[in-house]
Order: sequence, then structure tokens, then C-alpha cells
Amino acid sequence: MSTTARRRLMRDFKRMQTDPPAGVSASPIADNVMTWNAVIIGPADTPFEDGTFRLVLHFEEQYPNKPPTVKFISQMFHPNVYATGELCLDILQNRWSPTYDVAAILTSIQSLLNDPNTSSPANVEASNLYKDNSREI
Amino acid sequence: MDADFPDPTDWIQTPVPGLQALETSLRCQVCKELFTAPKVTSCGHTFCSLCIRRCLSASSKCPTCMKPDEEPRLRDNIVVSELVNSFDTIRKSLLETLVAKEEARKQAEEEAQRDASTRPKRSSYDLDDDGIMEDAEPVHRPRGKRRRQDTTASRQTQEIGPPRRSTRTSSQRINSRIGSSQTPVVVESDDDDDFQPIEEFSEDDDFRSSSRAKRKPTSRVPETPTKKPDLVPCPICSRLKEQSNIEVHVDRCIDGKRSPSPTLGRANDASSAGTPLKRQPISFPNVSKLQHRAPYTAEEREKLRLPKGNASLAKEADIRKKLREIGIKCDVKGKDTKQVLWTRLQEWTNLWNANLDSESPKTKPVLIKELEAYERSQLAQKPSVVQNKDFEREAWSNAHKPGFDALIANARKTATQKKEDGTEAEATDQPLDSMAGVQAELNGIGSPEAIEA
Repeated sequence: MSTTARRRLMRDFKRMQTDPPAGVSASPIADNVMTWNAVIIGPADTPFEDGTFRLVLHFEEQYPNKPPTVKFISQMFHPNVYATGELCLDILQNRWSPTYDVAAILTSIQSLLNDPNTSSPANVEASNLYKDNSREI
Repeated sequence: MDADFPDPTDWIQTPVPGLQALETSLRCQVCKELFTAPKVTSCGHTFCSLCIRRCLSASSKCPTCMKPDEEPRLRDNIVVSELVNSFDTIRKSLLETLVAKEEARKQAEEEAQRDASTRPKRSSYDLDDDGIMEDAEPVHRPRGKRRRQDTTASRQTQEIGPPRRSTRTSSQRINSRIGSSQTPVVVESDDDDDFQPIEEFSEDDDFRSSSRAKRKPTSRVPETPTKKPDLVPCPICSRLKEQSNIEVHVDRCIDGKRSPSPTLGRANDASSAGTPLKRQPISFPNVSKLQHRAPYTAEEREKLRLPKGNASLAKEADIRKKLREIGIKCDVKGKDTKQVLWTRLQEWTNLWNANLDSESPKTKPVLIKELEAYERSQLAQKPSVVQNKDFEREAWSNAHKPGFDALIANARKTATQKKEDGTEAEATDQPLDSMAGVQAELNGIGSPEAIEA
């Protein structure tokens, strides 16, 4: 059955194959185009540099009108990632736009690693540590 | 898959990668397909009719710039629609031609290299290569050209279609209105300079009966007075006046020296200025007449956009009644809640309105089937394990290890490629084995040259 969401996800997949953004990669799991696995390489000049971070994305039939559920599989120590792996990222909640695709989501998460948002911390310890350190720098 | 999902990135492999940007602009940013019945928002962004209607009913914001917008403000984007149609017809042949050209070029390059290393004589090969190139072009080119002509032809017929119809209906409407207002002078002028086909059969008798009495035969140039550039409508009484006289006229209008009756005023104007007035005033001063428009015919009613309504004001019984009137089933599996009914009606409104914008509208039963299929797909989905509170990350990671390993390899590849600024990273072609090398490189220990050496 080809629905709007599925067709759009197949498109996103093709885009990820033919022209992937640097340092990210994603593909649907074998039997379900609605669930994807993804990997982000830690950006240079960050504590995450060169690390490989695994994520899982789950899309609903309302996609792209509704954002997917995104979770880190890898253990993260980051101001905006909860201990459960869930993210606190505005574009995945109230600032979501139907124009975003998988590539856009992953590059946003990649830049979140680069540039944490300490005003709404999900991990207070990480947030304080980041604030103290950036002040030192 | 390539055939099913043509994508702007297809152009990257061709000699004209800039076409990627062109095609991206011709695609809706919501569904990423080529625009279907493109609509432009009040902030100037273009989307498919159905996509933007669904977005706006969900959030009332433009998906691109997040500015607030509403459905009634959407306008057709005709030029984009034409662009998409003509691009769609040439896309396949253009891509094939360009890919063939690129392949021929690569082949020629390879052979040239091979020749240069083996034997110095290579004239015969050069001829061969040229032969390939020339062959490839004539096969594709005429096809593209003919198709393009076809589309322009069909586009022209489309363009001629609607405006002609609208002109006729508007002139008919004016005629009927005028018939009741008893102004024979206006009827004559309307027929004269309005739509051509009417003139074809009404010219002779109309001309004889009404204009002969007033006009000299030599002045029979129906279009000239309306084309006079210096006739401007008075902002107060809407009569057409010469631009040089307009200020004097407006002053008099404000002072109320002229009678407000349009008929009398027009007769005065015509006699005093000596130019026969050809055109209807832009708007009728008599508002009461405008309010009585003819009721919609059944055909017209079928083409009306449906209003969105308001969820909190609508009563459940009314929604149910509306859906039944349309022919949409309610309460198939037990009693539907108001929320479900409302969502169904909204989706129907989106489908219906978008269908009216489409170049090839579907019939109502087809639309109802689409609505049912859409709702079924929304309801059929089960919550995923990923969304569970006690989702086992470790277990998931282990279960999908091969998948993740491949993804890591790919991600490393793209990351390195970017670092090396476009040069091909040979080391990353065997991702897992050469990981140490790549890592060293990423850390800035080794340069690409060092690894190759």
C-alpha cells in the first residue's frame, strides 16, 4: 500500500542515497519503511569528534505533517539528550515544518551536537558542565 | 526505484549538475513531488494545492517561513504550473540525452588515455567517439522538441478555454442586469466592444438599429474610444472622463452639482464631450442591484470551494448531516466521536478543494474512495516499539548491528569526502578494514598523501 507518507519516505531514502549530507547516513529497516536507523559522525572540534552515534527514527502515517519520533540508541552525554535517548530539539516538536526531510532532521541533530542549547537542558549535569567549560574558553 | 522516484539529485551525474537546482524549485517542498495544481501563499511560497491545504488545516502557517496564512488567501500559480508541465514532458529525454553524453565522454576519455599509453596513433578512435556522440543526439533531440511543441499547443488551448468562457458569462451577466435597468445606450456599447463572437452575429442588426441613428458611418471604429489612454474613471461616480478634465469633474462630483444618476450623467457626458461612451463604468454606483446575483446553477455549485468552518462552533449533528449529504459514511465501526467526524470533514474539504484546482479533476465517488483509503491508512498504523517508554536500546542496537555497521561506513565515507574537499577517498572504499587509517586522518594525524603513500 502506497500512502503519502510512505511515498515521501521512499523519496527521502533516495535522497539519502544519491546525495547524503556529510557525516550522516540513514536507511529504513528491512521490513518497514516507517522505521529508520541512522548514524551521525561526531562533528570536528567538539567533544563528540569522530564518535559514531546511532539513532532510530519512527515515522507515522501523518508524516510529513507530523514529526517522527527520534531516539539516540547510543548513550549520550549532551545537554539536550535525556537519559532515555530522547531529544529535546525544537524542530522535532513545536517548530516542526512539513518541508523537513530525513536529511534535514539528521543535519539538525548533527549541529545540535556542535551547538547545544543550554536554555532548555534535558541533562542538567551536561548542561552545567558545558556552560562552565565554554566560559573558560 | 529510479523510475518510480525521479529526483533532482539525478542531475548530479550529468554534465549539467545545475539542473538539480532548477528541478528542486519545480518540486513541492512538502511532498517533494513536482507541483500538482500549484498554489502560492500570501508570503509568496508555492506548494501543491492538497499539500498546502492539509498544512494550513493543521497549523495555519506557511511550512517554509512559518508566517500565518489561511486557505482563502491561496492563489493559483499559473506560470509554475506551465513550467512543471513543460519540464515534466522533457525531463526523461533530457536526462537520457545528458547521461548518454556523459557516458560517451567518459568512454572517450578512457580510450584516449589507453591509447596514449599503448600506441600514439588514435585518429580512428577519435572518429569513433564522435560517431557515438552524434548518434546519441538525433535520437533524443527530435523527441524532446516534438513533445515541447505538443505541450505548448495543449497549453494554448487550455489558456484560451477558461478566459473565453468567463468573458461570455460576465457579458451575459451584465446584459441581464442592463436589461432590467432600461438603458439601451449601454446595451449597444457593451455588445460593440466586448467579446468578439457576440459581435459576429449581433453586429449587423445592432449596428443598424442603434448606432446609425447616433453615429456617422465614418466613425464606425468600435474599439478606439476604449483604447484612448487618457480616459480615467472618476473615483466618485465611476464615469470615464478625460484625464485632463478629471480634476474639474471630481470637484463637481464632490460639490454634488451633477445628478448621481448614472444614466443621466452618461447621456450628458456623451453629448457634452462629443465622444460616444463605450465602456461600462468600472463599478455600478447602485449597490442594491449588485447584491442580487443570479442563484448558482447546479453546475456552478459543483465548482464552489467548500468553506472550512470552525471546530468548536460546529455541532456534532450538523457535521454528521453534512457528511451524509456528501455521501460519506459515518459510524461504520460503532459511533464516531465528534473529533473523528470533524477530521473526516476537514480532509474531505481539502480533497474536494484541491481536486477543483487540478487540471484533470476526479469524480466524486473516486474522491470518496480516496478519503476512505486515507483514513484507513491513518487508523491502520500501530504504535511502534520505538515509541514505547521501556524501549530497549541495547537490544535494538544488537538486533540491527549489520545495518548500523553499513550506515557507519557510509557516514564515514561522506564525512571524509567532505574533508578532502571533493577528492576521492580511496581508503574509505573498504570501510571497515581501513577504519584506523581514516580515523587517523580525521584526527589530523595523517594527510591524504601520507595514507596513499
